[in-house]
Amino acid sequence: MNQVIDNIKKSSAIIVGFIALLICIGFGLLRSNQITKLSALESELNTKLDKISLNVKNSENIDADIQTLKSHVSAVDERLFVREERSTNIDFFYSFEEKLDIAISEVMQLERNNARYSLEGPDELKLYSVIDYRITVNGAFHEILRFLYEIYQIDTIARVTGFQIDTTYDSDSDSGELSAQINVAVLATK
Amino acid sequence: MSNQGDLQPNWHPNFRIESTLPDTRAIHMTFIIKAFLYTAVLILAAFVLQREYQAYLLRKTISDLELQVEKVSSADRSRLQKSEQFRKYALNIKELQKFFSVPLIAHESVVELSSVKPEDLIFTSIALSELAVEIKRSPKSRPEDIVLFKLKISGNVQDLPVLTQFKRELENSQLLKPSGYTVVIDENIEQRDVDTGIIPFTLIISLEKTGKGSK
Repeated sequence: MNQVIDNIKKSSAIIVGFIALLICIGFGLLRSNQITKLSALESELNTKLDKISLNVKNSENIDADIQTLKSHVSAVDERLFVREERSTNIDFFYSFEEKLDIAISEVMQLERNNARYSLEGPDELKLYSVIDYRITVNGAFHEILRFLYEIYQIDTIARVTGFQIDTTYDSDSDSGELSAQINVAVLATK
Repeated sequence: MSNQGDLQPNWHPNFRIESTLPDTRAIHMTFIIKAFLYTAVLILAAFVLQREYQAYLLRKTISDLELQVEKVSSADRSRLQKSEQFRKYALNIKELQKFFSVPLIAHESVVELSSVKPEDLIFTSIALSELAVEIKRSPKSRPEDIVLFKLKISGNVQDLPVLTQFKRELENSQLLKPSGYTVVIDENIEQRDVDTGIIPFTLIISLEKTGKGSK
């Protein structure tokens, strides 16, 4: 061993080689992380570019789609009820009397919130509110059916959420008159 | 014969200094050390250089990629803004869909019921309702809010087979086949009226959204 150390001491080439070895090891250790870091950066940039190309693909015709949606939404907004305009709202339903030749005996705008669409409800609405109406109608079967259909196809965004149709036992007439209590939910401004 | 311990020492003292003597071996020790050392240095240097070259290529690729990203990022930002705008409008439509999402449409239900009704069966009342209720699907599960749709049909029949026929017709009708809902029919038959022979009945049809949660 001593002989080896003596040989190293005597030869400057060995010392130089040894120093070069140390430098290589040190340099290697110092730069060992750079490939990993650069690879990570490269893959991050590639992902970003892929995402951008996907955005390009997905946003084809987006301007036209936005315009279509915008026009739909503004059409909806125009047809919304306003909760405070109670008399206008109620009159809206009474207007069916003339149109359908039907007897509407009562239209009630309910104060309670619709449990389905209210906050924490199963179908909570965040952008719109819902006003419930209870409408009492008397008439023949086809008249009540026509009223249900009219509510279905009117411009106002409304839906029959429930009804109860009962036969009225009127001893004086045998006209087959029915009485119906119809619940209607109307979409309104928030 | 004498033992090893009895051997005589060298007959003259050894004055040689080993380290100063020239290396007389076929391959010099210095040469072995140098060869080993320089080979190691060469291998390590090659390895380090290869890694550096790889890093250089990566840096070049990264700078190209950064340039590409920079070139398209402003257009992408505007696209993202538009996408956000689209999402905002789409939310309105989603809420509309939520509002109109029902398994039974009032007038269609009435028409369907009257079309499957046998002649000998009389309806006295038809009611449709929707209720927001909290249910627990199992004792361990968390309670969830669901919407339960109920169609209640009350009427009179003279013969029970007529009611059975009506029920069968009802089960086979499109009315009780809304997709994504489970349908349960409960039947309640009251006592026959002794004078008229009429049997009042009530059918309660419950429709509940299948799957976890109705949201």
